Amino acid sequence: MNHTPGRKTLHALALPLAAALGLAAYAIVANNIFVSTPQELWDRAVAWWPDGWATDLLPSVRNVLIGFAVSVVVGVGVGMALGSSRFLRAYLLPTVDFIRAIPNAAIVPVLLLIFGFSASTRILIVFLTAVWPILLGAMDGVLAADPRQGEMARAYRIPPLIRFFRITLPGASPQILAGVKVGLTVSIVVVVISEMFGATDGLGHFIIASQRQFDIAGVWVGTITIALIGYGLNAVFALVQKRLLRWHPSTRIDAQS
Amino acid sequence: MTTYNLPLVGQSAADAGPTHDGVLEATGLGKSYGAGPAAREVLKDVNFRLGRGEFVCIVGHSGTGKTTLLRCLAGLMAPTSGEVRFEGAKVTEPPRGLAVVFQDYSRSLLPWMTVTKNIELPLQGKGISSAERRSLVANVLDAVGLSVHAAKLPHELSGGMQQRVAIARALAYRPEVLIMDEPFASVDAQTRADLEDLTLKLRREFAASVVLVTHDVDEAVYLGDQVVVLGGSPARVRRIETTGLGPDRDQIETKALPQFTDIRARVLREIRAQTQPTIEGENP
Repeated sequence: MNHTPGRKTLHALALPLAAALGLAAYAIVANNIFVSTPQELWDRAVAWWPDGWATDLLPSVRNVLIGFAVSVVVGVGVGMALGSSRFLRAYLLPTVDFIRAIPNAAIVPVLLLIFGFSASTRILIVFLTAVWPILLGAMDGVLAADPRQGEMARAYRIPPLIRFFRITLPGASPQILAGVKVGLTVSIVVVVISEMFGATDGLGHFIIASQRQFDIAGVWVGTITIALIGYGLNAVFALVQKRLLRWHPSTRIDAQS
Repeated sequence: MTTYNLPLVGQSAADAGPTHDGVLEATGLGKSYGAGPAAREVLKDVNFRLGRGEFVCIVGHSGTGKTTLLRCLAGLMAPTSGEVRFEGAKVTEPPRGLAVVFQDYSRSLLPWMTVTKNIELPLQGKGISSAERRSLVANVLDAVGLSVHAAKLPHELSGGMQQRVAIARALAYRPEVLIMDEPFASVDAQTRADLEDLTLKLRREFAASVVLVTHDVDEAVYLGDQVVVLGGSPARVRRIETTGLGPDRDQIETKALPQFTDIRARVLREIRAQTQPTIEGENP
């Protein structure tokens, strides 16, 4: 099997292309008003873009990125503290488990009611959704650390600060990054849901507004845009992850080929 | 290379007193795991002394508590009774001036750091300037023959090479005492022999006192100035042999010497005497 980059891309694109072609063919032949034709989609996208990128796309992306960034900082910090302290786990973990058992989508209406329909509420919603997987990942990462590494650090009298940044944090990074990846995905989901309630901007608002006006092509354009953003952010993240975990067994096969 | 002070006339380390120049000493050392009736006594009244510049090997059957003893000596574990003294001071935490080479190199080296960074890390904590760190690292990498692999990650090296990195890390720390816990247990026979010779060479070059724990009697006699046999349950020091084999040893020549085979036979007999009853007792 040839694994040149071009061939790899072709393999990756085969299924999406087939699905898109199939859907396009269906749309043209079936004349179903809920499935737009490629021509309609293109026209709608071109009409949407000049204003849409600023009123719909940008607010969504901004809310995701801010909420997600805060989640990473808080999640990693608190998660590692939990992983390091049996005492903290005993006091906080049951509550954490309870809160994160609430489905992402279910907290959206409640929070919107409490804090109002502002952008900062949406950022808060992203934060409150994304922080848990990151927090738990960071905690697991610290707990899963090889005790031999701790013993080595003790034997060589490595000071706490150096120990944290050079041993504990990198050691926990595989689990932290796994949590961050989940956090990123749910951030996008939840920001769109939040924008479907009482928002005046964002992609979620655009989709709901289009739906109410029977602008079917608009709904599709919004949905596809979200999918592309999600895919793009995940692709960027995968590159970061691969770079940071160059040493980890999960990435070694790639690194050697 | 003339810092070797041999032969050490066999002063029994078991009845260690403060009279001799002991750099690391254990007196009346006992260790139990657990408490109450469920407690398991692993070490009992172990006396041990490492003289300055000496190479002492501790041998014993698997599970006799060799590693427990070593962890107590290194200050990684508090003994239940007795005490350990390093250069006269009571050991409660791993002392500065003592470095450990762990059994499982693949787990004690940090997989995300290059060979250089792994060796440098303990030096950073010691507050050594970066220029000096670089020269120390270059020096030990040269000594273990890994200069060309300085920028590699541990997983890119073979097991034997990784253990050389772990040894280099310990040497760069410039310890008075080097403690090695079954350092060659997980490499193949040829690599093991090479690492043994490397250890003898480095011990001369760096003038460190060494305690090495192993279950391999040949290795213990080949490397040690003294061989301490640990045995029984709870374990005590059963025998101490002074090898007197001199500074220059050879895998083939030395191991064929009558002196070597005699000591080896005595140590083996002692270990067998310790383990035979339990083995028979366990077999139906």
